[in-house]
Order: sequence, then C-alpha cells, then structure tokens
Amino acid sequence: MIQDGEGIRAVQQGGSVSVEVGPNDSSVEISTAGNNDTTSTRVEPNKTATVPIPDVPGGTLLLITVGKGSRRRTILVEVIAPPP
Amino acid sequence: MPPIRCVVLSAMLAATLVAQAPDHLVVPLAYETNDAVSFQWIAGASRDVRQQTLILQSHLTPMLGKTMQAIELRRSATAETFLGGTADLTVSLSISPNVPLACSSQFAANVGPSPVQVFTGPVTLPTSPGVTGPAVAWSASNIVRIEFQTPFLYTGGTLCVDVVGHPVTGQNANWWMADAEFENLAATSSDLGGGCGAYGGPQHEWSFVAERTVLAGGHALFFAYGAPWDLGLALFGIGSPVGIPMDALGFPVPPICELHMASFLVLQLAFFEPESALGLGARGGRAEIRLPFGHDPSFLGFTCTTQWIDLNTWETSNAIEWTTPSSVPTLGMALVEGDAADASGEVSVHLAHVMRFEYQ
Repeated sequence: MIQDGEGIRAVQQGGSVSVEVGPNDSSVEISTAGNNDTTSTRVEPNKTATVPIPDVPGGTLLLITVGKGSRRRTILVEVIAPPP
Repeated sequence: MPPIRCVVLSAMLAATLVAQAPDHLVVPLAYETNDAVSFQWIAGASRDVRQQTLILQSHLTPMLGKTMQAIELRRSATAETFLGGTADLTVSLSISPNVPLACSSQFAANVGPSPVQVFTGPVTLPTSPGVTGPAVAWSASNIVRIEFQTPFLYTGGTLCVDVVGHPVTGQNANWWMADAEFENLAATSSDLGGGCGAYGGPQHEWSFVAERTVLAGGHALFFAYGAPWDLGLALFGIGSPVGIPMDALGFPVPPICELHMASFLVLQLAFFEPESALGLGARGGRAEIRLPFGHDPSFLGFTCTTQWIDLNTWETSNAIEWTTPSSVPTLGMALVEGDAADASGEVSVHLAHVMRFEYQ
C-alpha cells in the first residue's frame, strides 16, 4: 500500500513501514491514533525511514508525520493485521 | 568554389557560435554524470515551499566573472516513472553574507544585499520515464530547467539560490524527486531514562533528539511531546546515569520522575504546541528547541545530555545523552526549506540538490 502525503509516502512491508521523505526533515514520527505514545526514526541517506509497526490490533490507524506546523506532512496507515 | 569573403564570413560566424556556446557546471561536481545517493522534492511541485540553497565559492570557481543563464535539476535514479506537472516558481540569486555552515534558519538573513530575481513564471516538470542509473543524462525528460529571464553575473562568494514555489491547480507532480547529495553524518545517542507522566507510552519516552541535525555547523533540533500549551523547560548539560527522584527535591511528583542531570549548561523554554490535524491530538503538543552549533572543533565529538521538565506538572522526560560526530560536514552546501509563507525554515548542512548551472 502506498500513500502519498504531498512530499512523503509510505509502503507497508511485513512488520515495518518504509517512509520516503521528500522534504529535508531528518526524522519521521509515528504514533497510534488516539494514543500518546510516539516514536521517532531518523531518515537515512536514501531518504527513507524504516519504522517498526507497533504491536497493535488489526484495523488500528497509524499516524506518520514529518515536521511541525505549516511544514507538517501526515499520512495514515491502517494496520491490516498485527505484525508477526 | 565559394567567394573568399563568403568563406571568411562563415568562419567568423562559426567562431562566434563556438564562443557563445554556454558552459555547464554541476554542483557537487562528483555527480556530473552519476546519480547521487539521495533525493529531494522540488518547490511548488505539490506544495507551497521555499528552498534556499547556499553554495560555497569553491564549488563555483569556473563561473567566476561569468554570467549565469539557467539552473537545472536532474531526476533521481529509480525505475519509477515520475508523472509530470507544472510549478509556479520565482527564483532569486544573491551573494549570501553566510557560508553554508553558518547559515541562518531565517530566509531573509541568508539573502545578500542585492538579490536579482532571475526568473518568475511556470516551470515544467516533465513526465520522466524510469532511469536506474548510475548514469543519468541531463536530457529533457530527466530535468527541470529554469531558464533565466534576467542573467546573473557571478562575482564570487557564497551563492544563495532562493526558490519560492507554488503548485498550479490540477498540475501537481506529487512525486517528482530531484537528485540530491546526502552526507551520512549523525549524532549518537542513548536514553538515560527518568521519564514520567502521561506522554511517551509505558516508558514515558517523550523527549527526542533529531540526530541528523546535531552536528558542527548544524541547527540541532530537540523536541518533546506534552500537555498542550504547558510550558516545557529543556535542560542541557552533563548527564548522570543515576537519577535523582524529583520528589526528594520537594517537587509534587511520583518517585519515578527522576532528574538525570549532573549539571546544567543551557536552559531553554518552549510551549507544547498542539497539533490541529485530525487524530494528532492524543499525541500531545510538540515543543521544539533549535540550537545553532558552530562549525569549529569545540563541537566535534561533543557530549551533552538533554532532559525536559513540564513546568506545569514538574514531570520529567527521559534524559538523552548525545554525542556529535567527530567531523564537520564537507558538502559545502546548505538547504533551508520551509513553507513559502514562513520567515524561517529547516536547515540541512548535510543535504542539498544536485544542480547544473548554465553560464557564459
């Protein structure tokens, strides 16, 4: 599944989400919708951050963001099934 | 046999044409032919974006005293076809008062005293079939070309290429990524613990260090999540693996709230600004501190610890000990990127577009 967020996009691969980052932000933040637990992963030279999918039930929405305020880009990823 | 004066005229015309053929300079020169490791989006391709690139004179020596006529950006190498579009761009050039490793996050501060608007108008992003590299030609389908309406005489110094881009309705190129160089430098960090409170999950890890920014010449970014509009105090200093319970110091918090600082060098305040987007409310507000680091030896291999305190609740974040890389970025370029309407942007001294300049 690829989702475009006007400058960022994500591909879900097994137990992780591969986030490609067009802007010059240096990290990607991921949290579960409705949850106060956020993790941050740095962007590698190929402009990709590989973010492990948290242990959440299928159907959970993950919020992936880069930047803050007017620079913020957000994409939603729905977890189809818990990671193996 | 043609008359002699005809042959002379032809020879003169040919000589003139040769003299007028433009030269090209790729920056960084190492990527004149081959794809660089990274990519970067283009202002206005899909969003209102300002991109300011500062380039050291050492990259531009062949253009000294010459007139610049165009800038080109080449696509990044990948098998993917980039769908085309149009961006509305305004490009200004100037000689910046700042070298890349001392650039400002404020756009205005990087612009030289006599900026020249060299282009304004629509620019085509061509539909570009996949190119796997490593060589990527500067061909029409692989490049975005900005041909100047007003030439720019380069007289030396740090060049500031200031691009303000707006998308054109119905013409967005959502994933047209230009080639970019990325210097693989980053701080190292370790979590000393000490967090408590409602944010950061079961481990109360609500403090973060953007490791790519924490380097000599960079604008180090530290951020944390907390209750919206609470005031956060970021402590920078010498860390301690052994925490001091805040309640032992008289603060009304649970014993798990521990201070992992042996001493303070810098204190900074920032509000936890709430995010308005749907679903982000539970994440809490985000507070950010940016510290411009000098590009001198004192910031090489420099170790420090950061810990936040929510001044409304006295709850502590996890403390993070970090160490800057032992070398200075050598890219010789800086990218300041932000919303087109903002006065400031995100600074990268390790990442910038590969650009080709046309000059005479």
